[in-house]
Amino acid sequence: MNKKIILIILIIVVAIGVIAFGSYNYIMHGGARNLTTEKTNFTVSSAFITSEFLGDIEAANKKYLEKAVAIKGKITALKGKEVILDGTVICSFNNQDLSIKKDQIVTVKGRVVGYDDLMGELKLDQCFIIKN
Amino acid sequence: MKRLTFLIVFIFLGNMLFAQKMMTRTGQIKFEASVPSFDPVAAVNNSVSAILDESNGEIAVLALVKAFKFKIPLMEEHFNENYMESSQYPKATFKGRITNFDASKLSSSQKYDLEGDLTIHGVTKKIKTKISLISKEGKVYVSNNLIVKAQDFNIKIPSVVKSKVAEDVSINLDLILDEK
Repeated sequence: MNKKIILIILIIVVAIGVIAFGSYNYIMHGGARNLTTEKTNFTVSSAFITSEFLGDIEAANKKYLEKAVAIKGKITALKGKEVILDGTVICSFNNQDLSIKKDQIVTVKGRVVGYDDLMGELKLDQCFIIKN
Repeated sequence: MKRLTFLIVFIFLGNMLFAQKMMTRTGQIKFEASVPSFDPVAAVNNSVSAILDESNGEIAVLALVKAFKFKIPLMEEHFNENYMESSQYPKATFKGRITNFDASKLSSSQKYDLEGDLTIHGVTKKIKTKISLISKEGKVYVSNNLIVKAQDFNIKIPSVVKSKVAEDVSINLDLILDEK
């Protein structure tokens, strides 16, 4: 009888511990996106997507913001984790990719952050190369 | 004819020398709306764009709201979806003028008066603040600290979290401007 009570208490304590740990983990780390496993929503060229943002920024925002997009273009500048395609698409990488070089044509996947109309540039983050 | 060519060249050169536009796309904005003893409510954006026209002191700054990074992903989600509604209002901008700007005095750090329109969450407000500028090795270092009230920009903080999020938001701007 006594053993049973101890066992039940033990189970309750462990259960509370698991729930507490789980919710702490969810609050501290949950909700983060992982683009490497996410489906690509759109596959476009850099010229096409920037022309859409130049044409109708509201519609383009609705269509692309927060989406996982694969963009094909030529690397015109490369500095650390920042890669620029055709001078108009600014991709910030999670990790620096040492395999790519200037003037190379690549396809970059990333999350659309928004269109910067001050500089006339489209910004993406969490980027990585999917094809080169 | 010779004089005309000379004049044209002179005007062109003059423009190159004085209408210098300094810019960056990797400026930093940090903000904090923390309340002591609760989780820090703070984020940083390292891809802020800015242009300073050295001929007249006009300055424009643009930050994409979705580029603000929080330590806690859920906080970032709430910030975007519930507070800033960043899908509807993807950017925060400032356009204004440094009123007592003098490009020749940039060699030593000095505070200037900055006036202009700050737009956050689709609401534009006129602001007046101080901005520090110093020029070093051809680059202009800009810094500013600004306190804004969330309610001024129609950002509603739900009563449930009111005790954990400060109404006064402290914003820090740091830019290193360069010729493009």
